[in-house]
Amino acid sequence: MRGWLLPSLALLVIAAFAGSLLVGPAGLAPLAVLDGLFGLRSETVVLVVQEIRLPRSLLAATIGATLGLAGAALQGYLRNPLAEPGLIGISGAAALGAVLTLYTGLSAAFSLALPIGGMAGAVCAVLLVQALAGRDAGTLSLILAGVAVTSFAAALTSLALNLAPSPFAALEIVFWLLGSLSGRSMEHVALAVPFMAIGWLLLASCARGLDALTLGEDAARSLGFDLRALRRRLILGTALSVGAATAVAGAIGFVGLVIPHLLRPLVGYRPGALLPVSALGGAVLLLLADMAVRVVTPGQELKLGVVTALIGAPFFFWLVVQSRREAT
Amino acid sequence: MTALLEASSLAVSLGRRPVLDDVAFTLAPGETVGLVGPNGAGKTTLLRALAGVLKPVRGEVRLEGQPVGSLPHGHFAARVAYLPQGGGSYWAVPVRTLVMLGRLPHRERWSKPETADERAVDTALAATGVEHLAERPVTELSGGERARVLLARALAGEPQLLLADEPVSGLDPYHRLEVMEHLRALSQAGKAVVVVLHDLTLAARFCDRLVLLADGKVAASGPPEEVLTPQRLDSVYRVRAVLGRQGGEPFVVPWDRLGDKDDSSLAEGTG
Amino acid sequence: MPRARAVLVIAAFAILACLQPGAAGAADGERPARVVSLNLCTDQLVLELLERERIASISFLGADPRYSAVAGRARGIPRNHGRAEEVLRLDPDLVLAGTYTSRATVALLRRLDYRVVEMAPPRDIPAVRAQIRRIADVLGVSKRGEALIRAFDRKLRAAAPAGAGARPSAVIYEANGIAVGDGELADAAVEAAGLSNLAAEMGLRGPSPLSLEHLVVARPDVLILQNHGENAPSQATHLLDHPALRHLRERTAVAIVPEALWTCGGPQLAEAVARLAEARRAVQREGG
Repeated sequence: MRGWLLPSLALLVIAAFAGSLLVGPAGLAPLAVLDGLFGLRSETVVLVVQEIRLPRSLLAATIGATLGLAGAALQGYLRNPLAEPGLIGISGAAALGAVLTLYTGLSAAFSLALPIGGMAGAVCAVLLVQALAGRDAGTLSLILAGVAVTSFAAALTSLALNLAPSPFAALEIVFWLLGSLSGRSMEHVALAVPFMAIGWLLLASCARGLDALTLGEDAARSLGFDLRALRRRLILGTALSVGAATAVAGAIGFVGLVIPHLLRPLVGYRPGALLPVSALGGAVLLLLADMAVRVVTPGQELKLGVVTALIGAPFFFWLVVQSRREAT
Repeated sequence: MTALLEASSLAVSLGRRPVLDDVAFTLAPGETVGLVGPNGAGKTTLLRALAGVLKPVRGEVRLEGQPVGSLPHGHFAARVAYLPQGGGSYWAVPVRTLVMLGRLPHRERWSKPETADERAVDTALAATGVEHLAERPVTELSGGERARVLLARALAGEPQLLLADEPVSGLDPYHRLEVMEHLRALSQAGKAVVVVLHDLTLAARFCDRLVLLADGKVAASGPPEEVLTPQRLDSVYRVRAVLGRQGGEPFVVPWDRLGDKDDSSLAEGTG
Repeated sequence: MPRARAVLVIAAFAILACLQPGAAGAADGERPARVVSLNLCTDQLVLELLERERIASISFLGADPRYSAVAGRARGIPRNHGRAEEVLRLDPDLVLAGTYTSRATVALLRRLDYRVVEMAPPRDIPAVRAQIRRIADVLGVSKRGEALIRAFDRKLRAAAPAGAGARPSAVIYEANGIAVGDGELADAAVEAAGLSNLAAEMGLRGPSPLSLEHLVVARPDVLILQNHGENAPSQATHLLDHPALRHLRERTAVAIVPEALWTCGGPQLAEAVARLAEARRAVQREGG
């Protein structure tokens, strides 16, 4: 890996985070935001910066990091560049889990139920996709399994929302399918970030094993890696981080696809080295996307997933063409 | 003398299907042992069991007298390198990075490669003559280049023992000889090599000892000329071969296919 | 025997014919006897103005206390979902509908020569009075209508500010971060209570999204919400639990005006204005 990559990505994260704090309908001056962050301005400014903008920026950074990291880890483990939490159904199922706890009122009675629901959904999706596609899954079977799980989860999500007692629920399918950080608060940060952090540690601990898997499963085992343990850590890490992220922000797609792809050549294609840079890259992308959402249509914000899909879908097309070219 | 690697009454199953039964195996330092036998005889399975990739149903594998299961974590991997059949890389990593993966058992978690690691990689690249490819992506190499790079990966771990599964398959004669010479150089340097081969001439020429497997059992074991007798080639491989010597070294050229057992019984039936 | 049976059948038909409400209604064209209401707002007026015997059916919303201020009176009255079949079965002599709801049903009923009266949602206070008067006339209960208007006006007068002093600012904040701007009945109610609608002053028209940031910075004197936060859980209402808004609620006067009071321009609007005026007085007392 080139030495400059990690520090420059870290700088980008800091810059995007600062930018994200500066953007908002209230139009605060940069200095006011800085003071507000440390509680030095009027109550109003402090409230806007600390309670409205800060949680949103924190979630954009941590959820982006989660998606980038989980995408890179899944790709390394499945040795497939199209594996991504959104594409293979993990985000969709996590959204379903969260929907079931939120709209039944379970999470109102017991707030941890929300991230737990998301994580449970994510675990089910990973196991289901693995069962459907097989361990050493080819691209086609993996994508098919992902499509099946995603559409099934989406159908159940919309069913649950239609049956929910709230008159608003039925309209909120868009939130869950596309994701948004609008209206998120420090409570969401407190609910999701601890689980995401544990997930990151688990995924980071897979780095060497993923490197070894470059040579295939047998060679990785012969290098002293317990692949069953690796798989457990990977599934648990993905489920915790993506599940908690989706539970508070909905299913945000494509971050885990685009970021590892852009950064892979810069780390010499090493799956282990790709993990930290993808986390930082994901944070940058989601921070920028969330800024775009607020700047482009300030009145009624776009859903975050719309922006990531606008970036990610053409990328996906390109990948499909690329893989077809390689196949022939 | 304790054997470097040994296995006794080894039984291995794949799923529910028993593949190996009651296999004994020993290997001394400096020795090259060839695993030969027809398709489906269990050569790859034996090699995987010896490499610790497959857990035996019965029996155990011992490294210098110690059961492999009882060794401290990473100890076995640091001393035994395994080169799977048809191996390659799933990602377009540069050759040097791939070869460095062979150092994983020697490196601390989270640590960067140290000088010793870099030196071992340099040595492995030099030993297999692929230094000039160091920065090339593995996925762009030719078959011969890739075979040597993968060998370098195995050597980078500075193993005492190399287990190679058909390292010459898919290679042209030039590169086959080249890879076999590398293996011979290893055993001459005091390391032990177990290699699965289909090319019986290469097996006869380059191995000190052969283990002939048939239907999951050891059919014969010993010096090549004692193992590759016309009778065994007939009963195990179902071929008639031209056997001879060239410059003091043996060659085995399979020539005629003998009729299938079913065919012969059918012929008797109709005749 | 056959003859006796024929007589019975004829008698039965005769009795049925007498029971036909259409026949009775024809005799008293001014006072419809079987009224069907298809719309929440007409439901509430009908329930206020008419004896229950004359109400054939109201919409399901009119019986739902979340939306209807007079849901308590709806017990026992058949409900409809605005579908033509439901109405035809009841064979009403008057159908009341909103101008935006059940359009297909209304068109069909007109084609079948039913008497249908449509009512547009009022956007200001005079329109509320006009509407009560019009529906009361149609129902043939003009006097009751006038009484209702007098009570309405009494309540409004009591709620109006005493002088032309400074008007505290207010924002109506709903689920999904929607504020009510200019040109809405709720806006008129806010003004009638002696408050100034901050959202309207910011240039918002009708129900418009207002970011939490804007709301916090604008800092209204009165925050008007529709309930205490006892909604069925949803992302939309979750926003009203945002810590920034909770903070704001602690610092400003809060008026809770249930949706049922001002969704429709009925007499219950005066109660909404009264509650808003109460919040205004609280602010003015605190301000000295």
